[in-house]
Amino acid sequence: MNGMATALAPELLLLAAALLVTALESIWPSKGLRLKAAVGLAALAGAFFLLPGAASVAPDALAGMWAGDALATVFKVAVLVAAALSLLIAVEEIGARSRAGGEYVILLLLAAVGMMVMISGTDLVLIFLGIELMAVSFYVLAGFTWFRETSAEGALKYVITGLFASALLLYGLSLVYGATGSTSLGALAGVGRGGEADALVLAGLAFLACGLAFKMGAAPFQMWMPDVLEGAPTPVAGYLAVGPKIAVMGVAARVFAGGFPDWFQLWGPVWWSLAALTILWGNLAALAQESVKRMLAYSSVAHVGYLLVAVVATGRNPAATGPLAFYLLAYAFMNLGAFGTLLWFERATGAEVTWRDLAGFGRRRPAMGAFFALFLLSLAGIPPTAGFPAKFWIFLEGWQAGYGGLVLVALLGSAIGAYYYLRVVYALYLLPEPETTAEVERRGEFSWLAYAVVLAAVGTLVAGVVPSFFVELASRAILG
Amino acid sequence: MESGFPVLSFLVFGPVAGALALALVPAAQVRLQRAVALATTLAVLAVALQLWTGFVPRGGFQFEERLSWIPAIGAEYHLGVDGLSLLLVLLSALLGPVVVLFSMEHVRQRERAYYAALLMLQAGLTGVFVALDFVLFYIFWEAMLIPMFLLIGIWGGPRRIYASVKFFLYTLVGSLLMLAAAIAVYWHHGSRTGVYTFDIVQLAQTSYPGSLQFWAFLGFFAAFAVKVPLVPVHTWLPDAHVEAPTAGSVVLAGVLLKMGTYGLMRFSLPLFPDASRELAPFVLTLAVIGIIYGAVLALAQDDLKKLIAYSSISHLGFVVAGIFSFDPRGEAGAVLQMIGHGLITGALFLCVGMVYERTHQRSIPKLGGLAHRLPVYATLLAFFALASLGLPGLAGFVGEFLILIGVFAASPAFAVGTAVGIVLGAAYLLWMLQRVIFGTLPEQYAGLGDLTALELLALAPLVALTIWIGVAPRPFLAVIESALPALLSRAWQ
Repeated sequence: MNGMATALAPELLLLAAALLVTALESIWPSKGLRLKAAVGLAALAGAFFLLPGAASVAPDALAGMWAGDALATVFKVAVLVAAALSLLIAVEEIGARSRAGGEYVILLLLAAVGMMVMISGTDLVLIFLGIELMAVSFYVLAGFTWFRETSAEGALKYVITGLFASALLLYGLSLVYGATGSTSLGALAGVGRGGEADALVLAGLAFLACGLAFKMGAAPFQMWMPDVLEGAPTPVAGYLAVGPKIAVMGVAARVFAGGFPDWFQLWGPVWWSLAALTILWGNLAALAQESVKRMLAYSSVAHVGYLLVAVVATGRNPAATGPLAFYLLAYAFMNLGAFGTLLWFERATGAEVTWRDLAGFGRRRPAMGAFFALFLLSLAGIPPTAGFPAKFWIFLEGWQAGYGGLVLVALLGSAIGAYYYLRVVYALYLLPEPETTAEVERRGEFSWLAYAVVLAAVGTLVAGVVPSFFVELASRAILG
Repeated sequence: MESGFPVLSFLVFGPVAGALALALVPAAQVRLQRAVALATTLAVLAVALQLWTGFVPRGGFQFEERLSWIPAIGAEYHLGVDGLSLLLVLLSALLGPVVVLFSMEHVRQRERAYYAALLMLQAGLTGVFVALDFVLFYIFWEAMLIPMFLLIGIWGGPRRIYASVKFFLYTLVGSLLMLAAAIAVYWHHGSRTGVYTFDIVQLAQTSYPGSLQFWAFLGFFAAFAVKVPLVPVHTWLPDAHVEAPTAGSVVLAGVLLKMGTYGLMRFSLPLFPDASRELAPFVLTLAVIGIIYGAVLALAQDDLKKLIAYSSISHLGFVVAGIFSFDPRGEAGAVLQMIGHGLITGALFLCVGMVYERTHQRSIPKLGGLAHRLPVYATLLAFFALASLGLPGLAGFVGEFLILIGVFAASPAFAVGTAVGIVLGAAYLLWMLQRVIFGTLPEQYAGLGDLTALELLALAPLVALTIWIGVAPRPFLAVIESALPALLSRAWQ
């Protein structure tokens, strides 16, 4: 029992913090948002320090349904980084936009717990529970500014498509269970080993793959993502673009590479084609966007594609989870940084921002402009930022796994990507400022946001220039 | 000199430190900003000269620095110079203070950011020439794009945005193909030897199977051909040159284009010797087309800057032809021509900038008779134009002559094409001189002043070196020849 508590300590701490904030919320509704956020941040930091201890005792806890392997630990680090950054980004924005705010902290923590359960779960039912806990929290978060029409619409879309995806997952799960009599990945790996491919299991896996593709936003199941991300409040959009990817990618690697390693020749091509399609679709669609937020939304689809290259590679080389983890860490820094700076520009211009609206901003606001340029260059994969080693390592593994063609598609996608990221950079610095510069001056007010952006920038640069620490960490992300 | 001081790291990161220092200087203190920029580039030049005096012309790399960097994939922080990179490092160190001096006289817009971009550009370029690890090389190769993009985009001419984006995208697409090829080489080397490394020296010691060589050669070639630039991927260059500020053009022509020819010598020939030989006729054809096409277009230009930009395409064609002649004289000539072209064309762009700052005019028909009012300027312009067309006794001649011998030994047909380029070169340059400095001076230019002290100071070292290389190329050739056997032994077989 004691071992179980230690194994689940990080998740339990976050749950406790969520409960504490709930209590605070009932005592001081609509007050003390900063205190509540601080509780959330402290819990996230605490969970980080509890991770190594939890990993050491995990294997026997929860009757084999829980993995505390290095993969789980490293992916959870990425989840915690993403949650902490998005909380920092969100505090003032949510405080200004909504009477409440405490709920935001609660939901953010619960979503993090859901993601961590997904990452550690080695039983399909437990994984499904984690997915639902995460998804339900995000349904509410996406509609957090419900009084804005786009937000309500986005949330509704997310609920409907999300439920559809859940139904697919459940259906796949029940087929697998019906054919094998087990939902434990350990037992399933035995079923798959050397044996004939059972049609029912295959159908089940296909549905699982579709469900996961939906949840991560891989083409052709990506259509909800741009609308939802555009509708969601910007801090939520940042979290939504990063967090679930970390968790779902963890699940995909664990279920497919960990659960059905011997059936790689069957599921490999599925993910292979999804990866290629996602890269091309995401990048081409992003190219057509005027709105920076929509561009970032489509670009996050494209990044799912790059990540899938690593997922596919895990089938041939289990160590490819290392590049996957590194990319997710880098992505947490650079994408949340980008959404954070975008939020800042939105506040300054007072509306949804198209890339043209950013004309000359880099000159008027040198610091924020430089940060935004840094994050965009990193997303484009240009050295010396985190995006470069992240992409490079994934391409390296993809190539070694024998997917040279896929790597070439990914390189082509990166070239297209460079164009639309660069377009924003050149608006920031090279386009002349518009004549009318009605600007909301809010110096000092957005200090939490500024911290988040600076932290994200430090992460992006450190992982780009001296990546060895992060690479070392990520290399340990191996399926137990 | 091979003590503990990390000379090469200083050459790469000194300018970065200078750029960071500039960020701390208040925006209003323009004089201090200029002083910081000049002091940084002079310090870099001083250290580069130390490097030159400490360099021993023998095979292998010197002044090596090696640190563990990303052990998981076998990437190291590994720097070093041989005879090939040494001269290019010196060239970029020399052009640093030259462009700063010119800019001190003429740039008056957002100077702090301008000098910071120039310094970052210098850092990236030097890094490209001294990196001995492919990942490191690639990082410098790409990172250099950002300051150049900003230099063209912010301080450039009216169509600067189009030009800067075009420049960026052309280069990026080329480099991505190079990246793919390098990944393929990395895995092959690793599976063959068990050592997974990006070390350029080690990678060059393995022989690769024919099909891999073929595709990897093309991947690298895509990146290098864009940078050189070879026809048909040259179209970014005239745009970039015309729109770039003068200092940008000088660095672009002086050093940046050499990244492509440097890459061909550092990677293509040593790593893929069989593919290089097999594809040599193809590359030579492109080079000769570039030589003649560039020269013909230069003949047709009315814009002074465009004329020199197209002449660059022509001259870089010579360098590529020399490299793919697989003849020791041709190779040595190619490297010397890289340096000579850097000095001469750099100087020519400075001259164009100087006349433009005075007249706001680059159109050749609207200039004329400058020798009447600006005798010193006219003399120097004529000097560099003659150097560029290959007048014996000046730097351009030695390189071109060696290349011609080399290409002739390899294939007389290609040598004929190359020689046609020389004749055309004489034609467009002399015709340009005749129209710009002779004839009658348009009335509105009657009040123009001749070169200032700073401008003379900027041009002086270029004059001196152009003569030195032209009259006594021996020390330079000794350095170059020391590097060739290691680089090319396998391609020569």
